[in-house]
Amino acid sequence: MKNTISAPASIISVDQVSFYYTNQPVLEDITLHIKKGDFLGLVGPNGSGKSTLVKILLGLHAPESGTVQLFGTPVKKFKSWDQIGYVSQKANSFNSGFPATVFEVVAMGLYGKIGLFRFLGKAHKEKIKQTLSSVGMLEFKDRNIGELSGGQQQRVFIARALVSDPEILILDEPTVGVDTASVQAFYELLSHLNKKRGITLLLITHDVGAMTSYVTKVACLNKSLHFHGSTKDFEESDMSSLYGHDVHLLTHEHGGGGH
Amino acid sequence: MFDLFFQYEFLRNAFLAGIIIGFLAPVLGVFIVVRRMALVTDALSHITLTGIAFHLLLSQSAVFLQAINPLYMGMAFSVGGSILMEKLRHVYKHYQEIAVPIIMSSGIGLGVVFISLADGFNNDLFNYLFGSVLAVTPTDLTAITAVLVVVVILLVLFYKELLFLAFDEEQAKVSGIPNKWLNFLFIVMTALVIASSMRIVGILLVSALVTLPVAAAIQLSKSFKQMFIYSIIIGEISVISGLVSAFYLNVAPGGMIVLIALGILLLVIGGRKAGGMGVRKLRGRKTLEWRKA
Repeated sequence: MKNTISAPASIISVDQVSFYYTNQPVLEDITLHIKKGDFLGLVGPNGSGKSTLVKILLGLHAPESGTVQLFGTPVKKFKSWDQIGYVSQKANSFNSGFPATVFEVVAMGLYGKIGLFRFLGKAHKEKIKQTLSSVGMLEFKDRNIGELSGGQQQRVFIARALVSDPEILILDEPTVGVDTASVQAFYELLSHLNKKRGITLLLITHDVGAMTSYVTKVACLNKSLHFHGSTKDFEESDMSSLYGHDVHLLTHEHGGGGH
Repeated sequence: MFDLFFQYEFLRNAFLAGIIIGFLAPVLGVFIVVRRMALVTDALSHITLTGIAFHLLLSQSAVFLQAINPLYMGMAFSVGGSILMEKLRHVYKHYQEIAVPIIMSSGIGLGVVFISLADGFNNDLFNYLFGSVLAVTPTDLTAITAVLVVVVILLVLFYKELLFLAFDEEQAKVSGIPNKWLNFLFIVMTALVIASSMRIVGILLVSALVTLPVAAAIQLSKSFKQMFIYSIIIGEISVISGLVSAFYLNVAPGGMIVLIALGILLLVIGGRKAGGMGVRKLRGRKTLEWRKA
């Protein structure tokens, strides 16, 4: 599959962004660049502004100052939303009584790309099945989404984000409500998407432990950016200063216990 | 026993209008229920009454209005009310449901004043409150048919966008779905369907026809498409048998229609409880959870 990182162009550029919520600073002077092929873990304690930053990236909030560019276009003017796959934190707590099948949920990921006044065609249906198969959920396509386990639902939401062939996948706390056994398999899937399919990933999480064995770059956020670099240079002291107490990182290899 | 319904024009009108409403109200109801907007229909039906009372009051002095169907004024008020409600939801971001009682009570308050200025309740108004088989005029049928055509075209065109918005509004927005004007379009469609339903079921019971068939269908459906099919079947059974029985029993059709829809809902809930264990084994579902809704 495609994996051209010869001249890394910034997919997401955040420059000197600040955001206030009723005069309380939530984000201060954030500069962050995500390049093609990155698997960036954005970590920080609860209330550090992670989700706010994501909402700014997606144009759901406007920053007080600073600029955000997606694929070189200011976010306000950005139109190619099918280039960005987003799995929200809320995906875990959606209305589980909603009567939709797995197939119907994944189809939604194509709606923006298909556009208004057009319908789901044969090629689209094929694409949906293919995407479901790539996350190992094809056999569940006719099941009601509410009947699945948290881990299975999360795979369906990944499929929904992937079905439009995005360049980048943004995942906001994707492992909340997913059992520990599934979490590791989930990270394996993300790692596979990044390495084999060349999909750029932005993973937002407060769970530093497991994540550091999979991501290639780390950014630490607590109102301002405390660290931004490759996982190798990431030290426990960085985390401790961020969280205000000792934090023990896992070894940078797969598996291992919690912190 | 259906013979009479084809012999007399007024009965045929009521029958045709009923079939249209039995289709439209549950179809829109599917979206209304999953968006948790069931109470909104109540508020909009009350503001429709305000519009009708306003028309009746005006037509006392402006004679030309007597030639115009009051339903159109009702629709205009309902659409206006829906727009106000959307605005109020943005004013009270953290208490969005407060928009419903504000619109509903101001609708009733204004309506009652109009009614008393127009010399109080008459038979016509009573028909609007509870529905009537006899009250459906040819111009009503024209208006209802127009609403049917408009709403069906809009639903077919925007089905996928409306589904996505109902399932996850934020995600839909991020996918580039124009959420603001689609929400607006949806509430206008709701207002139109509510106004057209009141000739048959009456203002006080419109929301029942929008929600009861869907409430039964949600118990039976696995997919969103199935929800439509079951809702329409249950809606049509309720309206047709309700109209016929109301005619022969000489009672208000709105009441009969709602009682039949309620009966079906209770049967479905009872049937699922009794058959739940068997169904679970038959389908081999290991993780089926009872829906909380």
